[in-house]
Amino acid sequence: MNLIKISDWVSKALMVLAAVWTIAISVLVLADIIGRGAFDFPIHGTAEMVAASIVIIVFLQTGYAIRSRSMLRADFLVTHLPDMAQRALLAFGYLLGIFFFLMIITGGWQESILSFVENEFEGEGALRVPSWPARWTVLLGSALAMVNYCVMAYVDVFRPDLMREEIEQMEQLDMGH
Amino acid sequence: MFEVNIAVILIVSLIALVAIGVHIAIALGMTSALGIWMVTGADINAFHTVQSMLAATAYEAIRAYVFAVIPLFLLMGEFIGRSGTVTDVYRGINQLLSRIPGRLAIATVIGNALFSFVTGVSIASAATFSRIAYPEMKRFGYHKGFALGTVAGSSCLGMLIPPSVLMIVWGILTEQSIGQIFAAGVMPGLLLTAMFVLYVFVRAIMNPELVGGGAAAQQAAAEAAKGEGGVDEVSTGQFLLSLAGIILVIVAVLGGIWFGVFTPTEGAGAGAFIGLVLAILKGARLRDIIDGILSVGRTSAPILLLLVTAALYSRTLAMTGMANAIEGVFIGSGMAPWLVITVMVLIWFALGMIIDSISIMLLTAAIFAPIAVKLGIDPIAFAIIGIIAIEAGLYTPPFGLLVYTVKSAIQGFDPDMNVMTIFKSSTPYWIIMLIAMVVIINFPIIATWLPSLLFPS
Repeated sequence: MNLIKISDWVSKALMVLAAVWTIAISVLVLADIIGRGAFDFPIHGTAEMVAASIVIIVFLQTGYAIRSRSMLRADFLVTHLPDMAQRALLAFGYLLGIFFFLMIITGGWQESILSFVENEFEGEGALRVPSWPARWTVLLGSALAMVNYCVMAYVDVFRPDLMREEIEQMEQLDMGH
Repeated sequence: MFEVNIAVILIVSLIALVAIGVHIAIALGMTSALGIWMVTGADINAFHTVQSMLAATAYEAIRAYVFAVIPLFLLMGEFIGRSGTVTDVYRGINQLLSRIPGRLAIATVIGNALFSFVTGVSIASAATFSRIAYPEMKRFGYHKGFALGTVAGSSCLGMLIPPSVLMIVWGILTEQSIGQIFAAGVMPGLLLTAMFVLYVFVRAIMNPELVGGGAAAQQAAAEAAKGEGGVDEVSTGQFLLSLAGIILVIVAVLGGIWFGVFTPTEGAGAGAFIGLVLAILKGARLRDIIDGILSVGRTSAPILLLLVTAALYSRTLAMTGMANAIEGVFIGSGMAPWLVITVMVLIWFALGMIIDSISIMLLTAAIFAPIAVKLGIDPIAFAIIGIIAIEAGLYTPPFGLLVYTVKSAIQGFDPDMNVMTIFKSSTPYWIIMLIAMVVIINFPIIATWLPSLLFPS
């Protein structure tokens, strides 16, 4: 239970970090426009920084997206099935999720380390952005995604009481939207 | 390269995974992984290939400047949605329309059209107007179903009038200019707005009881409400400030994109900032602004993750030859172009009943768009046709996303409202959408006129 609290806290913290990062991007883009338009002084490498940031933002938010049940899915059929079948299907889906993100990690970790060791850069000309922060965030985000799929499997399959509670909380969040 | 077996296995497993409620991103990703594994030899080496392709796609697929438009436009919509400008504009339009039968409903449609120019998602429109317009219509004795049908129905404009997340996704998937698709949506969006207004007007004249008993009774109700001190008026100054803010966003963002001053990403970045300033000027609390930022955090990641897996899926379609095979079936069948379009529209419409619009687009756009081009349909017009068909499905049972959005938005103050009632009263709206779509299929110039004007090739 406490482990879940820790992973939830980490997921949420990374999501908030990514949200702040998104705001920072909008400021950067705006500064670039104003700089270019008003002072003929664009901010070099804006495009490269934004491109790398998008990868980072998405993978920082992946864990939370999964945990907060924001991932898009179709439950039109499932809701008509008996409770046990529903839980089994949920568990199956979460297992696939774990496997999917595991493959991203196993397929990418070597290159990620190399990118750091060999100082790999992306982009040319204006500004060269190191590739390792984005690559490492992909790994970090995927790892957290795996953890959260495990948490979801535990909650949805073994703790229906917790699951109902969480769904109610989410609905309230959506209404505040 | 292509084997029928592989294609069949992939299609069946994709449909099965989506149907049993697996996250759509995972369903797409795992099906693609399976496809790549099978075409590269189905052994341990193939498994290594799969892993490195997955890792490469996760890093590369969205590492591009253009993808920033999605969170930035969502941010803009959130800020403006929370600034209270929409409420002001809705009330202002209301006051301007006094004495017109069904004015609250007409103001809902027009307000939606305006809001659509600053928001990228229909769900935002549906949720916002459920809270602004529905209580007002209820108070003035409108038929509840009719009122909610109007709210749900006109929210489709959010996706059809730029900026629109669906248009961005379509542009990315089919490698077309987002600016051009934005421009293509304007005339169809206005056409649809006019058709909705006409529908509300005709219904209001034919059945005055739907809108609180006709103009005279409505006036009386307004007087009565005034007596209670409960009528929601907006001062001219606030109305003009809000209207000016929204128009500024439209001119700066869309104008900037269309006249080549901005890329879509820059337009979205500027829009997000203007939205923030507008929210602060309108006195939004810090809490609202933070909520808006966090809400974008929750909504943008799932969309972008879907785009990652969609890139994987489109690679798989190419590697397995599946796309060509499906194209061959359509083109080689000797079906008339209109019949092919009808089949595609039916597939979209049917999918809209069960899954969300972005997922539908990811599953179909990469396959359908090239077929349409081969049949001689303008790709830009086809984007609009596709968006209308997909959105229309969002009003139909059993899943009808927009209807459920309205239902959950009014849960707080009208929990007894039956979902089926909303489905029923939204029906005229999706029928009107399909009519508009048929008109555009026959007169694609409605969609292509503005882009050809703005982007002369």
